[in-house]
Amino acid sequence: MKRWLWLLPGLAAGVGLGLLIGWVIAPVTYYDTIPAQLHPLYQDEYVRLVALTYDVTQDLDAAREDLAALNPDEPTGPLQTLTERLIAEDAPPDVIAPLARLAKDLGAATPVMVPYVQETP
Amino acid sequence: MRTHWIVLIGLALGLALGLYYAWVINPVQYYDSVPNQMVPRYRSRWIQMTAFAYGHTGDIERTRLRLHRLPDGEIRQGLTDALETAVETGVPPSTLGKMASLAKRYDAQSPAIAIYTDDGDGMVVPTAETTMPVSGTAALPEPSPTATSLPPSPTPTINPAQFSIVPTLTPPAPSYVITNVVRTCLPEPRIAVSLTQQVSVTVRGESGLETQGKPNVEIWLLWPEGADRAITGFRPSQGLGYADFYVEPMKTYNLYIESPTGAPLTDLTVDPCETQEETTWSSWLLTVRSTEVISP
Repeated sequence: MKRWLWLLPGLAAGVGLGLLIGWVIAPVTYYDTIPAQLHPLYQDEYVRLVALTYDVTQDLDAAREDLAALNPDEPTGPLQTLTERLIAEDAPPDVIAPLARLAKDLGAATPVMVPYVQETP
Repeated sequence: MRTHWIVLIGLALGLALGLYYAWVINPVQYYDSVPNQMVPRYRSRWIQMTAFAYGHTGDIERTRLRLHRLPDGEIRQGLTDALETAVETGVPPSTLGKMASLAKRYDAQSPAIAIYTDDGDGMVVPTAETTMPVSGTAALPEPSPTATSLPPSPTPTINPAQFSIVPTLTPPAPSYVITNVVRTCLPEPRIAVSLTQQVSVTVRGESGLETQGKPNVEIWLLWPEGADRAITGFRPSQGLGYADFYVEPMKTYNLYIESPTGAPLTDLTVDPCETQEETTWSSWLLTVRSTEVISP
């Protein structure tokens, strides 16, 4: 009976080895992620790309669909958040304007965005 | 049972438990992924949006970062697709030029890239400054089989002094024939060409010819003040051999296929239509067939 106690150190070493392999050496890798799983910096970049693309193509449906890939429940949420943050950070107007224009066309513009969406004469 | 076997059994059981926990129950979470880890559909969209953004801003450094570590083949395809979408949606030429240059920088190749790349060897913008030299037959109402310099046309709307007479000594044999001409009246006149080719096919032992659209062929329009060209096949919904141009009223255009040299295939005048409801102009749809028969 005493001999079976030797199972425990083997078990402990096996669990440790399993965790080492599973978490460090060969962790589960996600190569099929979606925009919502991007690093926050890339998510910001994604929103900027959507806005700049909309500025060129004027395809509002495509812009809405692209934003929904980031947040299906509230597609305009990340757009509003990024735009307001950039305004608060005093980012250059040419960075903010495409975002604000898209927010306006999606009916998601907030008061702070108004100066950036006014038509130029 | 010997002690080392018991240790090994424990090790195996523990390894199985550890892997199950690490891979299934509590796997590493990737919430901070990067663009090249996204599913192909989103990677492709990311690349296309990057192309549009570059067309808008021209910021090459940021574009490089956005495309960093994405597969080269996907980048080339995405940039090409974005440019073709932009062409179809009527994006301004300056933006198309930037997008084409970006695609070229990444070694992408397509007719649209060749046309719109803004490095001086591609895009032809029909302005007064880009007058193209045309053959001496440009103003003639009927195509000439040779490109011998002929007297200027008496047509009052075209000033012969505006032409550079470039005689072509050995013009290529005509390889296209007009098989159908449709004239319609539109407020915004257009000239459209549907280019076809015949392909020999054999069905159940019987050979025959099948008519298909012919894509990737340059269609040229020349007029006294300039020139424009289009590539067939950019509107697949209209057919693989389709290309069209917006044209200006009261002008005569010379149509060329493949190359704006030698005799034009025909000339077309955008004259007013006789309707009383609104001002409309002649628009032309020409069906043109290649005389070459393609064998599969």
